[in-house]
Amino acid sequence: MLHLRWRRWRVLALAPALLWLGAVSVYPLAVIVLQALRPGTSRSIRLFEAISDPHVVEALGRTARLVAIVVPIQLLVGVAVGTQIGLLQRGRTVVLVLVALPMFVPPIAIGLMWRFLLEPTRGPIASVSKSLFGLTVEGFSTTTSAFRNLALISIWQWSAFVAIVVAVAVATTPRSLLDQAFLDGLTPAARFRNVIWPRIRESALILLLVQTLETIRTFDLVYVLTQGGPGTATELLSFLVFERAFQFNDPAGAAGAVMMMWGISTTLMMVGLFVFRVRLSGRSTVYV
Amino acid sequence: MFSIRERVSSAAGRMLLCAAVFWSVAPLGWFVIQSFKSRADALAVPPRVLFQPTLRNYIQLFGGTVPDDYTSSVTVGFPQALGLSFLIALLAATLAVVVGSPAGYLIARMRRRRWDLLGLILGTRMLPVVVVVMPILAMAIAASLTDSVLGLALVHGALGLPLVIVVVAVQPISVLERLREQASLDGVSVARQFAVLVVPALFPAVLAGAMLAFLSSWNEFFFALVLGGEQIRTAPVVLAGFQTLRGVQWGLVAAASTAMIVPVVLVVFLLTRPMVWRSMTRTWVPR
Repeated sequence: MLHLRWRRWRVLALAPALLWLGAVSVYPLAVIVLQALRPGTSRSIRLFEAISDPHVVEALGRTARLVAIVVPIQLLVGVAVGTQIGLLQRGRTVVLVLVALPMFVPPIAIGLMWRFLLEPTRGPIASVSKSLFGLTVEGFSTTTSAFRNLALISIWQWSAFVAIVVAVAVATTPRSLLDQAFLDGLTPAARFRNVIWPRIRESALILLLVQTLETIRTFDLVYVLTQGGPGTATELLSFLVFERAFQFNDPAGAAGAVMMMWGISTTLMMVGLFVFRVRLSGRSTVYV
Repeated sequence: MFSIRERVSSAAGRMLLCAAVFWSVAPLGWFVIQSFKSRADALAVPPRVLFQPTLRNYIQLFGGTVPDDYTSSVTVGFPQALGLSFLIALLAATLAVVVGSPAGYLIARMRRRRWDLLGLILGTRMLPVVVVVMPILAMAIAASLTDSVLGLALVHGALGLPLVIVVVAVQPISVLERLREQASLDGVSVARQFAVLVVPALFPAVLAGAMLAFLSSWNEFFFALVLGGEQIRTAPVVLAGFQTLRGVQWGLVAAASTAMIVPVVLVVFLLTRPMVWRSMTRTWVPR
């Protein structure tokens, strides 16, 4: 009797949440898949059109390049800084909040801020580097500098997030374990490898997945900084889809590229979750 | 006492921390300072470190008049946009908490498949927004929820919902459940069990989830741009529009950005208060 009542409660409590999430994720995906599998302007279906479209393939390549540059640096910086924060004995919260600030700033404000900081003539970074090192700063006017700056800003925005997650994982390391390792004469590097790394390995793996997906999602920065330019230098796949659907007003034409993007994200997510599932079960060390 | 290697490594660690704090704070700090500069100071090359601070950018931003103002058209609607953003974020966070915290508690009680379910729920947040936006827009048009506070709050709430669910679902509740069992053996009604035991125990986690949901709506740009239309322009949308009018007015842009960041910093400060902070760190500690 009680059991049955409990079951009903379970449905009542879970159903609204799952319906709501389904309405903004599962249903849209079904619509997109149906659209992408219909024939487009040529004889083949829209998905194949997108795969053979050089613009889409180039945008995909740029997205992949951004992921390949940005994610390893975010992880390295985040793990190094996060470990140091986690090991602090006093003032940990203050340092954590200060380092974490970028992650709470609206991405649009981040984009505008860096556009100002990187202004080639009046920007503060330009004048400092010119007077100290004689270097000139290129803003977003050349193809290479625009892409490089986009990567830099993405690293600035997200290293903080990696650092927080790592710091929290490190902070749960029992002090006695670290002290014992120190007394046993382990070098700092050996202490990291043997005591700290095993505690943050899982977080680091999850972060690798999360940051890859997050970088694929990058949109706001491109919108506010470059609008995909100069030329198509910073036209990531997400921005290409937006352009086609909303600026060229052809949502159906973008469906192929959208499905491609969804397929890539979901495949990564499935592979990631499959790999981490066994390691994660029964623990709650990771918060995303 | 300490070997040279220890000292070098700890000094290097401290230096890394200082560099990290500088790297995170300095760009924001400079931008905030920029918002207190007059036009002449803002345009100076090289940038001035010492200057007479002025509130003129803020006055202009919030609809006041300032001398030699030839940019007034740029700022129209920013105070309203801030208000709208606040309203939408509040509504989205409330909806997410109302729907998400019971679900989170239920999932926290699950023994099997808990992480599978949480993975799926978080997965909805990891989807690229451009992937789902077009069908959502079509739905919103069909329900005539474009150009409406409710429509945007429903979408933003769906972004915050996974955060609320997860923060609640990873709470260690085994002790709580044992207390509840005891209470029900003692004949305490279910409603009273919730009022006295469950709600107070989970309140900090729910609060933390609500703040995260609020932030994710407050900062969100893409859905606000696409679903908001002409009438519902949230602060990030208006902010993104600043750069196209009459060149970029950096003083105003900096002031508007600062006005957007200040509530965020307040919320983050609240998040670090002991009650909330403890509940959130507790979620990270292995049981």
